[in-house]
Amino acid sequence: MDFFGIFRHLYLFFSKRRPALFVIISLIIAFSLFSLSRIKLSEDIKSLLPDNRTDFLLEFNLLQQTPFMHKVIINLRDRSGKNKDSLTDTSDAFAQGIKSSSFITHVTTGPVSNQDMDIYSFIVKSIPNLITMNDLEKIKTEMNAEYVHEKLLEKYSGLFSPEGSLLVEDLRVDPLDFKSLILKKLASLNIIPEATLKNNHFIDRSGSNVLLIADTSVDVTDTLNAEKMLADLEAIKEKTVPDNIEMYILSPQSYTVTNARAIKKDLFVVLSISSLSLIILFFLFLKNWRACFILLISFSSFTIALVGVSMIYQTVSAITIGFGSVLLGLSDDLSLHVYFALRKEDRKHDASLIMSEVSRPVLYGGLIVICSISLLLFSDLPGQRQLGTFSIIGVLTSLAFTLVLLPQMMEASASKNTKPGNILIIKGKAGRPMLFISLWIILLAACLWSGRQISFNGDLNKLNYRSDALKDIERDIKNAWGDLQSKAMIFSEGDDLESALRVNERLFQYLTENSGSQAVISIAPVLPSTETQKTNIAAWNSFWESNKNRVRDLLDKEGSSIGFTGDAFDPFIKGLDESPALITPETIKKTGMTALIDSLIIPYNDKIRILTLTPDNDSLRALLKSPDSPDGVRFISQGYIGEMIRKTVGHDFVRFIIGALAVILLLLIPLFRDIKKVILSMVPVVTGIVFMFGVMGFFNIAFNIFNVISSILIIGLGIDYGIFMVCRCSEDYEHDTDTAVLLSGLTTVTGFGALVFAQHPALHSIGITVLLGIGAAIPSAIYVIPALYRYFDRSNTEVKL
Amino acid sequence: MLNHRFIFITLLFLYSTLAFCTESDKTTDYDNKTEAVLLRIKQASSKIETIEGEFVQKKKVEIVKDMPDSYGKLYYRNPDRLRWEILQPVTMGFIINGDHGKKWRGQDGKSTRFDVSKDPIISVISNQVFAWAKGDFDRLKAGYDLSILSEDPVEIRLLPLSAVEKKYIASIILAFSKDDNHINYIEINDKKGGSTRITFSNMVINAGLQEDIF
Repeated sequence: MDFFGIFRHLYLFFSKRRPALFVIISLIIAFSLFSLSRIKLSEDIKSLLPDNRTDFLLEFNLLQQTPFMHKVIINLRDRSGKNKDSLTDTSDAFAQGIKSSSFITHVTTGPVSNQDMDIYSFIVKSIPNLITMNDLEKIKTEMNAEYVHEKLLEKYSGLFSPEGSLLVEDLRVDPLDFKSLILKKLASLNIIPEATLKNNHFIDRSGSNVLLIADTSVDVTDTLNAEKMLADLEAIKEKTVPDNIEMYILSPQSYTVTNARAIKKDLFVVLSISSLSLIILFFLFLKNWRACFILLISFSSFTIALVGVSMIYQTVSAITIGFGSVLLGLSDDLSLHVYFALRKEDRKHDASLIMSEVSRPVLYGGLIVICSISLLLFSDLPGQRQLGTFSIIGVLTSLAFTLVLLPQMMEASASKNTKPGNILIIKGKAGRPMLFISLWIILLAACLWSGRQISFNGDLNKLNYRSDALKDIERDIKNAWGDLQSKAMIFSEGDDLESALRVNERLFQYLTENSGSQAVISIAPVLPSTETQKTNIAAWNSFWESNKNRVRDLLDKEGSSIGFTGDAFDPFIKGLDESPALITPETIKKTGMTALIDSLIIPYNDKIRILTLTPDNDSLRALLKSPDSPDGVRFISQGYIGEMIRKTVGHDFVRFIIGALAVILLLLIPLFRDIKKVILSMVPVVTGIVFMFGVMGFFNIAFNIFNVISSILIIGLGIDYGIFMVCRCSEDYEHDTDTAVLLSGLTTVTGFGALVFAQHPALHSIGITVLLGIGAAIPSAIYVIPALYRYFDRSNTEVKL
Repeated sequence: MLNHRFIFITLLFLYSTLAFCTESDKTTDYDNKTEAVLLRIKQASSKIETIEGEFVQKKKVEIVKDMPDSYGKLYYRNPDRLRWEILQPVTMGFIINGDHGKKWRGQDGKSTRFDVSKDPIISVISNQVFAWAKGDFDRLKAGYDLSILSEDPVEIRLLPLSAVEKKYIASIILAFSKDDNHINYIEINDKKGGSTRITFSNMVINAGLQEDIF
């Protein structure tokens, strides 16, 4: 028995049990609709990160766990810049207000002023701990009569200045200005480059902006509480910030909320547009109420696929749901062919025979789509795997409903009085084969030319939705305060604080020796390991054992010649004999830098991680990935993550394309057993992919992970059109294949096309790409395949004209 | 070196500015007499548009045997311009023009531009000058405990409220001219026993100033 005869028997089997079939299917659909409410939605971008590399995931988790992920930057701006006092007063009022928010744990408006130790005392007391061997060498070289005289004279002149009296104590304790060496080291903690201080508030250089930094307990992936936190801040703003002052909020949670809002809006818009356009297309082309059967199959496939995915995965990505619109367009392709075959009331053969005939291209088409999509299951990105699962379940459902349910519904609804309706019939034109072939070749050549330089983009920011308002805030904050966002992070890890500090020291030394003048924010120069501090103190003591008398004589002699009293520098000389205490994080916190220390020293499980910030650029990435880079450090940055995704995307794409072509060939060869037909079937795929590349290259649109997913769909769907059209040309089907291809193509295009209206870049990318791919695949299937078939097989006069 | 010094001064005075610029919990009572005197000065100051004058600065510094007097000039234009320069025995000074300024040391003619907000010590000094030139005692009250030492001529004593400023400064005395319309001298007494007295002379009020002075 012919294999496809099974579908004839299936049809006959269910035709006797139609009510039971309808009840069972209705129950399945009802169950899936009921289960929809239990689906947990996720907008976590982690699903777009490769999960086959544990080191990479670890690094991404590190990024998520940094204290910066819980920082909220609040910028108050008075455009006039005239009233700084009002600005700082507003800042205080707002800071006071947000203390009432349950989502904010702490707020900083400026340096903390009620510390136990002032920064000056810390600097002076830390000199022996922080002065290195290199510093001592420098001091030793400079320490002569001329240098001492010059230094003291400079200090003496300073005494005439308005602040002169206040400098006396400093002059006595540190006449040779050793603290300038420590101040240099403190500069490595300057995390806000453009900040100045006014009324103990962070004010930008223009005087128009004041900065507040709040800590939030809300995790970056917690959309619900992120929304509540932002709403809280907005409400407090209404109460405390006058109209003439603008307020901007920027935090990782801002992006979470903006993305979630965009996706929710997109889902509504996209699903509405695609559903509506599907309905319009069906009634435009079919003009028959039975078109509802196809819609029913499409929507049921979508619902069942969604419930199926939710049963396999804990959460369903919002991107997957967005992809539902695509599935709506995709799943009707198969049912349309069966519909067109069965719709005629005056058919010569019975429905069971038609099913046995039409089931071959439909089953092959469906299997090829499933096999192509199944390649997504081998992706390194969990998000792509979920999409693959979703699409497979959806297409399988659609295939099952198309081959089993649809014929029964068509038959049950058939009536001798029913007219088939004025169906818009499209016929493939092959009258001028050379014209179509020439145009097709020219188009392919042009697209290959413009698409040759297409680039891959792995930048996560480009896959995240950033509203114009958010972009404006980013720009304004960057202009006012410097680049606070795009920093690379390097973690020095140790089992305890001491070992982490040692790693951090090695890292800082490596960076300062190799990164040129790039700004490195590190705690290493101010908080070396205990071991290094002891070494520094020993070297300091040793230095003064052999130099103390000489320097004392120099100070006496040169000081006296300028006018200083004989005991002027006694505090300095006495201080050389004192044993300095070791610097600890608590010591530095006492100077008012608690927030900074807590941001840079991060306990994690049983380990300690110390954070270093650098610019995020290629040279530093290369430096940190070099074999010479110190052990125990982990480098992480948006740029690095982007690079990793770019590589994964490139790798996945090549693997998918080769895999999809191999699968297609494996299925097409037994179907046609004719290499010419196999090649012709691939015309829509090749045209779609090349056209997509060409247009993207022409408009300089970079390829991203969503374009990869879309390409797989172009391959799967394009090959369907190819199979149907080759079958039509070679086997002279009477089933309005051209119209079916056009209509199924159009429904897919509208399904995907709806995604073009999405704000979210990921959904938008899918829309654009497949719109181009399927948009080119349809005409190539309808016009080029018949033309090529005729060209290759001139003796075959059976090609329909 | 100037940068390091600048950073140091910034850090040092980071906290001393607080008392001057932030609200305090001060609950000192000002009797009617004090308020009347302050109002008198304020009324006289309200007519001031420009000031030009000279000053002698006498310093007593414990670690210098005989600190020589220094001589300089002062220029002010309402509301926010100030030039303060020492001409002898060293050359140094600063100009404030709104939020921006420049300062110099030595006779090489080189000056450094700066943001007033980023230079707390100059900010403190200029705020003091602006406060007394305008009679803005509300601003001074925020950072100091004010008391009237003499009503005619008016002498006001300022005691710092900030803990950090208290470490360095014991008191500041502002002595006004008999006609109330300008400062006669400022005396700053530091904690270690040193003091600075700046006595003004040849003060010319509202005579107009050349634009390029600032």
